[in-house]
Amino acid sequence: MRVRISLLSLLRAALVALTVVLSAAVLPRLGSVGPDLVLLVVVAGALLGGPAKGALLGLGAGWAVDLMPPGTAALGVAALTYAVAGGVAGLWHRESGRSASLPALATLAAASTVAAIGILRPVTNGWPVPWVAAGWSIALTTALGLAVVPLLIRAERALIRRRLA
Amino acid sequence: MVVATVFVMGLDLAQPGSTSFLRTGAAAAFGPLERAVTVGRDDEVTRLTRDRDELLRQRAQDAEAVRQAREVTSVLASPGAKGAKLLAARVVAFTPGSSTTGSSSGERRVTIDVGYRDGVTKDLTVIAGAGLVGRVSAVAAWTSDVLVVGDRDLTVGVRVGTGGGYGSVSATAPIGLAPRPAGRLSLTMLELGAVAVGDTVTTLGSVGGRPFMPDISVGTVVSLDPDRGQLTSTAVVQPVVDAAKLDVVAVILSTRRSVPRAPATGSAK
Repeated sequence: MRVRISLLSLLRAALVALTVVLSAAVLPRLGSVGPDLVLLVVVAGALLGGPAKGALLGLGAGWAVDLMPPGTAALGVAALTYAVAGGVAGLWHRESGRSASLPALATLAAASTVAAIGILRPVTNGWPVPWVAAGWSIALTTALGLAVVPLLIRAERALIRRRLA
Repeated sequence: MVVATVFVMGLDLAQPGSTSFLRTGAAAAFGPLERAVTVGRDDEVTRLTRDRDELLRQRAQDAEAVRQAREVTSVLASPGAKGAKLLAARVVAFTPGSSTTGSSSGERRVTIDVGYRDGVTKDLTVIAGAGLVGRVSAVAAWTSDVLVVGDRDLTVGVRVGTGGGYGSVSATAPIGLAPRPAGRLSLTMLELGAVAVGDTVTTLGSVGGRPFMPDISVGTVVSLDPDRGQLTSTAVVQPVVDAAKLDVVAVILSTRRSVPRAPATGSAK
């Protein structure tokens, strides 16, 4: 398989890097729970490309999350989590037709997946489970996704239409 | 004309936005006219407004710089830093708060903006103005990761109160007790001894000062756990440093005494 580096993939990588830096350096200062910005980029890519591409994009974005200091405890946890979330969001991929509810549903599903995997460790170890934080995270991510994911999709479609990507 | 007007009004009420092309067109046509006839619109006002905004921004930046300088002073003047060589640093990143993997499984780590090029090595003590922050867990060229008090994996040996009883402080509650409220720590005494509410908790110190230097404030005992027939008492500790609001910290570099201690002569007659 020949790897084709398109402008779109470069832009996506830049966007992922930007959101990862933001969510490590800026968001924690604003509050203990925040929206998952990286996931929104993954969901937008998954909605355009389908489950397989979504999972691949999630894997790459998750690696960025894992590696950005201070990082995660086990290298690869975020990568696998976002890969599953990207695959789940890709299930809402449609070849034709544009629906306003699709991005919201896909974001909700992906955010729930990430939260479910996140609380797996506390649940299996008998630690206190942060139900409230997980709920807030899902709610904030979905709310932001309602606005941002359609914008991202529109921007990527515009790029494809103009043959820039 | 009247029918058309009523129709447009109904359309505007029933489906707001559907008549926006009319408003946009009118705005395009009449907007410049309105701008032209506005009295007193001169460049002086525009310039002064811009200057004012610029100065306001400048003032906010200055206030931020003053705040950071105060924090550095406070770290240098804190009791734990007495006589030690310190490396001031800023916290640049946190374990993400989104529920992914980080804080939901009890991780509290931060990244600070000094690394091995600045002389930082693993397992050095990190303090803030109020007291202990944690220990350096990983070092890169220009940044280091710090394991902050409150992380699930971090346990600190401590002395408690005026009696100086030994104990350990960690984020996990002792077995059989309900989890602590967010941000609180658990103190487990190692020996039989009285712990009272309000006792200060300071670090015991490690061999060679790694990972923890002695006598750095960790927190205050806020409540005692009921006696359940366990060997030693346990209590809840409020840490002095709020991990979520860390900004200016300092890494303690010097670990050894440099001045020899003078011997004393017995004074009994």
